[in-house]
Amino acid sequence: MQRYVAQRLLLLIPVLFVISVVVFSLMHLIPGDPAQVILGFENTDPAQLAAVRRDLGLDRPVYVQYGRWLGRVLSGNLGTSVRTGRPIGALILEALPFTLELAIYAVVLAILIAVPVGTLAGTTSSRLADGTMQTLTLLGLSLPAFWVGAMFILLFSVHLRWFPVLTFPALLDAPLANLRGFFLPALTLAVPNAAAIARMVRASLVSVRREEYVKVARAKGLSESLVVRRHMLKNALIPVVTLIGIVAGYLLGGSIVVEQVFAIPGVGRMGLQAIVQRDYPVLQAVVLIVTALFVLVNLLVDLIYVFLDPRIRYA
Amino acid sequence: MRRIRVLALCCAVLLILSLSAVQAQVPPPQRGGTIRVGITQEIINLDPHVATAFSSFQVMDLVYESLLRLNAKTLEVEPNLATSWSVSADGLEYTFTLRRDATFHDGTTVDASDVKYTIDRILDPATRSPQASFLEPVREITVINPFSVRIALKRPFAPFLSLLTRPSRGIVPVNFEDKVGDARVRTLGSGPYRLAEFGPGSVRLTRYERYWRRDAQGNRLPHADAVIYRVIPDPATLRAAVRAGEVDLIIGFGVDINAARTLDAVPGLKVMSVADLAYSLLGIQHERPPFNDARVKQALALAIDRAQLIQVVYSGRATAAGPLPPTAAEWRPVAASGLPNYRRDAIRARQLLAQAGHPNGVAIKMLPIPTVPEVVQIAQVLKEQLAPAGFNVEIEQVDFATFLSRWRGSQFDTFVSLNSGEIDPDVHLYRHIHSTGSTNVFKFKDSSVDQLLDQGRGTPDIARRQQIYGQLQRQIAEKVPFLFLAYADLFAVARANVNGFTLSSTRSMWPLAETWLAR
Repeated sequence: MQRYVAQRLLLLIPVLFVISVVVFSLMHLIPGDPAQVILGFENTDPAQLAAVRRDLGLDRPVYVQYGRWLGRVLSGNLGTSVRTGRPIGALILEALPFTLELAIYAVVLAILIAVPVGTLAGTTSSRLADGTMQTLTLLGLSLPAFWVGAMFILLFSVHLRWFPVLTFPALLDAPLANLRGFFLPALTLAVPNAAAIARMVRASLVSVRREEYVKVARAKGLSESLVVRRHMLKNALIPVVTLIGIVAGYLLGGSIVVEQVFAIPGVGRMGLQAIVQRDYPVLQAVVLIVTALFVLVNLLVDLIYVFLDPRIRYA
Repeated sequence: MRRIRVLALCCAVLLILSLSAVQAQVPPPQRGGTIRVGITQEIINLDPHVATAFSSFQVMDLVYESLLRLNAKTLEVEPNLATSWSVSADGLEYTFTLRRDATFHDGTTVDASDVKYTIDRILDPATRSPQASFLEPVREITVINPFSVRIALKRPFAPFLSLLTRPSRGIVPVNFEDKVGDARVRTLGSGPYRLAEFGPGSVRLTRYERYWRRDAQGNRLPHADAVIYRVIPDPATLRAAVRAGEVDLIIGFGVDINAARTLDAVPGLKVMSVADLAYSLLGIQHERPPFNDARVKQALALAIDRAQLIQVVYSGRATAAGPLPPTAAEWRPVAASGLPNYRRDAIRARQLLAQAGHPNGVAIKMLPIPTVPEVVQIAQVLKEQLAPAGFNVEIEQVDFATFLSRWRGSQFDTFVSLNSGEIDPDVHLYRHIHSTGSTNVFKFKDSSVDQLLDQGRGTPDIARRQQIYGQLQRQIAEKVPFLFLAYADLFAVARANVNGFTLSSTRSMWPLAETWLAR
């Protein structure tokens, strides 16, 4: 088990390396550079542009720039943002709590919505109920987040005044206000994911419904709810947990759209700004952090399997 | 068309009447409270001499002060850190007397050595200030005594005073960088507010208690305890935030005519508007075919219908743009109707294209700036308008950094963008259309235009300058360095308890120092 975890963690190193090379190359292949963005529209003097490029080290060949960056990162320094001059480590520490909380909140909401809905759809014998669930989940999957978010704001914040639009106090300072403030963005993120998970729960339940052990459980005279909870759900949850792991991994990268719509200064928005401003080191750092988190979450999911299904062993 | 104008006039009269009615009932200003301002652009850099982002200046308008400033309503140059000034007869020496009660946020007095240090800092190549080109005419700065400073110029430079009115020439103390550390994230100015917190997506400013200025009733400014800028990138959320009462004021970006109309109907909100100094333009690359032929440029000018563009994009709330803004009345801007090449004539445009060797029309590309929503709409309208005249337009949508890179490198047939206008005609025009202009990405070169521009900046006499710019406006309309499209109205939306804010054509935020919240 420890060996398995160690192997998976070691695998992270080549993954991060390859990703950093790809991101670095892509950023230098597309037009536009940070020196130009820094100088803006005020002045087109080529000498001044050259000077700013020199300050930023952009006059060196790309592989030299990459080498310097890699050297710095290996010594534990993510560098400074070329656009704002602020240390990237601090920027990420500021942005990450927003994204982490949003992701966890969204996953929790998605599970709270998806498991009951999926279970109902997967165990009911009513065609109408099943069909309604299917339609609703399809709707949840297809509505774009920017629209859902905007509608939630208009309905719940502007008209009903149930939730604030822009209030995100720290969780420890004001837990209730914090959960209230993050509710709408988390729900917006949760909607499509809840739909996907609910469909998975339903499909898994349908497939285990006719298994022998379910028949045995029923023959033992167990109540239907006990059959579903103890026998069907537990076995049906393995693919669902895989899906939840993938979803959580994506959400940790920050949902750019939701962070934009709800004005949350999280990692997604930071990454987007870094692309717009061609802030290479910030983008590199964001991608590395997000990749590492994604890999770690998926490792965690693999470990959860062991507890769900004792037959699974990692040697 | 006439009916719409009459309607617009009625609306304007009603708006003025309602505003004056509101003003008549205004009680004395109340001290305290926090003004929350919603903006759409990330706040990036707070070094007044290095920053270029508009959002940075929205913050710095309250933190840094320049020697002079533009009156928010009349746009006239008025005293600020300098109480008075004199200009030598040859126009080469400007002597400023400074106020004695202005202090930086660390308590030290603002004096003449700080003024010298500031201008030297901007001009020092090591600062990498994009503002340096504006102050290029400065030869020498001499401290006469602690409250008097003389700036000598290399040659007479008529718009000099107007250049000293912005926060980008904000006065900083001697050894600024040693005192402040990283000037991109920390500040040390003499303005009504000081930086308290520069967090992710927001900036909080708190009142500088020793600020020198008082309002007309003698109350110390600023009125509010604090100002918070919240970055809300999505315009729909920005508008929802002001409706939900989570921000008190939103300005410009994100508040177009449609938003202004919707929000005006919402109880508890008030809408302000003023003619913007910024204008939309269609840029042309003069060295590349097909616009290296004067006939093609003229054809392009004749193919455009500004009135229709203004109806479609701005619902009529804009003015067809001549080379000078209508707000700069002192410089006698010629109305679009009185300028050559301003009346649409698609048939003549086609003939000109045929004469230029394009009997079957010509294909051109158009690059709209992606950060201004109405610009994309303008590009779409222009595409439709240009087609009957024989221009087959392909719109290229690129991201901001790519746009900037192609703009700088003059890699375009045409582009559509928004230029911040200026009240002085020299600052408004020279850098864009003089053959040596710092932002002449159009590669426009014309000796008689150059000559008029040089005369205009070298002539101190106002009447003579007016004549020169009268001539220049006609030449610009004839020679088409680029196409001035429209000066749109600028809108702001505030909560009903926000009082005393003046929406300025310059989009300046310093009137927030005079703004107060009713409780």
